Amino acid sequence: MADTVLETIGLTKSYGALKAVNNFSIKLDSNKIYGLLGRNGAGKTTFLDLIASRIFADRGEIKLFGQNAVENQELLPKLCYMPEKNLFITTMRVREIIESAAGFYDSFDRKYADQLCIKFALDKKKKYKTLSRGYESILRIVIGLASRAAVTIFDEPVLGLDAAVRDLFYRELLEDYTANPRTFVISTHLIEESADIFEEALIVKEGVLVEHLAVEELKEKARYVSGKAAVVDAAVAGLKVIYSEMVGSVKICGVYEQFTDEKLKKLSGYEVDTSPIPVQKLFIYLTTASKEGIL
Amino acid sequence: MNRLLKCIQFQLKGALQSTSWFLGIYLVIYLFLFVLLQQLISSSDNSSGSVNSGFFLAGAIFVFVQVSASYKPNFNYLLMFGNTRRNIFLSTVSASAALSVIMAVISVASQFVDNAITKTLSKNSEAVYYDLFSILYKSNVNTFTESLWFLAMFIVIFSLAMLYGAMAYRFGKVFITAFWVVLGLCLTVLPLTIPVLNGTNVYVAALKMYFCAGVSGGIMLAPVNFIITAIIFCAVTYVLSTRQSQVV
Repeated sequence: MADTVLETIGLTKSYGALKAVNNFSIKLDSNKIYGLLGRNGAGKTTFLDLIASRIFADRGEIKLFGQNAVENQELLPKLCYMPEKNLFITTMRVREIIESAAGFYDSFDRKYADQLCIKFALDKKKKYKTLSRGYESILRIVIGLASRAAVTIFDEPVLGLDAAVRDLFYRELLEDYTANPRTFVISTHLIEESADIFEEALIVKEGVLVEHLAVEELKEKARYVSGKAAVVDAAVAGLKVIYSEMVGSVKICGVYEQFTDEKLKKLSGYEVDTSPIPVQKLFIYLTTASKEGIL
Repeated sequence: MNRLLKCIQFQLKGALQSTSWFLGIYLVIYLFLFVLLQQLISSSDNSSGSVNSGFFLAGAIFVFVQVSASYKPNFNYLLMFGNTRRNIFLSTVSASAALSVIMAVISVASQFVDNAITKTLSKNSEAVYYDLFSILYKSNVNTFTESLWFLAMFIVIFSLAMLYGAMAYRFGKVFITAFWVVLGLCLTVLPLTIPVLNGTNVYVAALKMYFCAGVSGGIMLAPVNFIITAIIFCAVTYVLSTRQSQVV
């Protein structure tokens, strides 16, 4: 059984009337890659800021390796959080930033950081303020990966990166993760292309954790059911429908359900077609479902 | 290495970089004025007076700007790399205290240089060098007490700057605007109140009391006032910063 590295219990943070994070309770295991998914304003960044002690919770607990993580100097260096926001000192050179980061993380691998700089063509002599948006993201990637922290968190790591560099990042992440297993939490909007690297998905909607399960399980639970409207309606009766659309005379329903043998048998009894729902689409359906909907 | 030491090292590096820039620019201006002064004196028949480079004043402004301006970026940067607010606060105090020592030493040294220049340039053999202390204090003025005074003064300036930085971080533009508007009003309106107050400027009197000006042994007493003020400012900053959420 995997060890729990990070645990939150009833974590809540409000900004006025808005509950940015509402009663968030999760357990993250060691050596896994988690995808934190949610739409803009869902509370992803607030949640990450909370677990990294950047902001304080109104209520709840954050435990890192079983101990209270808030302002805990022993534990905080075991967590490396590279936020989307710019918190670097803009007059510093890339080399100086990497050097100072190396000083703050005991497990930081300078050699690997140098290799990454070469791979991503990041000029270490440049000042941070002269970097493009893409290279700012690359610097965060270099520090996050080279930190080799037990818990590494990236908030929108591929922002401003072109497809080739994004691909390089995913490959590098997986390679390094295989060689040096640790826990990654990655918050991203680009779900389709990053879904393959996630082992588990955390789906956040309006400050609430609505789903936490393995990506494979998530894929298996989601299916399109299409056919004649009346037949489809009969087939999906009693199932959780997260999406429905009429295309001419054909009705397409997105079903999100734990497909037991009995349910599959029931579906096969109707004249309908079934196909998997792409992860990106599934995410859209799950996070846009109305409050009266399935989630 | 201890994390606190790493934070101090980082903050000190930044402070020393800015200080070396400040000193470089100051030296250039100083040399320019020195040459200008030499030209002026050589063209006059009999000149006397006192040369005061005003390093202390320039240094005080620099320390305030440096400490207050670097508060937010340093806080955010160190927080990003997993340092606690307590360590960040302690490192800011340590680095600023070190900066104060440097500025105090240079202030004392600049007085010696000013004195020497006054004597060298003056054509009047009885030229007297006037400095801040000869105006404020009557007794016990020597290099040791001057150093102590400068050091305590720079400490109170950095602690004020740190408090300003922490307040600006927490309350943002509202505080910054209010601070400078109130300060501006004080500087412009308060002198106008002298006639209303029957010619007695209570503000100047309060300031004189704080600086222990004209009091026997005042140069030794004033640093006590400064340090007490600095402790109060630091305590408020600590309370503010240790419960401060990150602001970008």
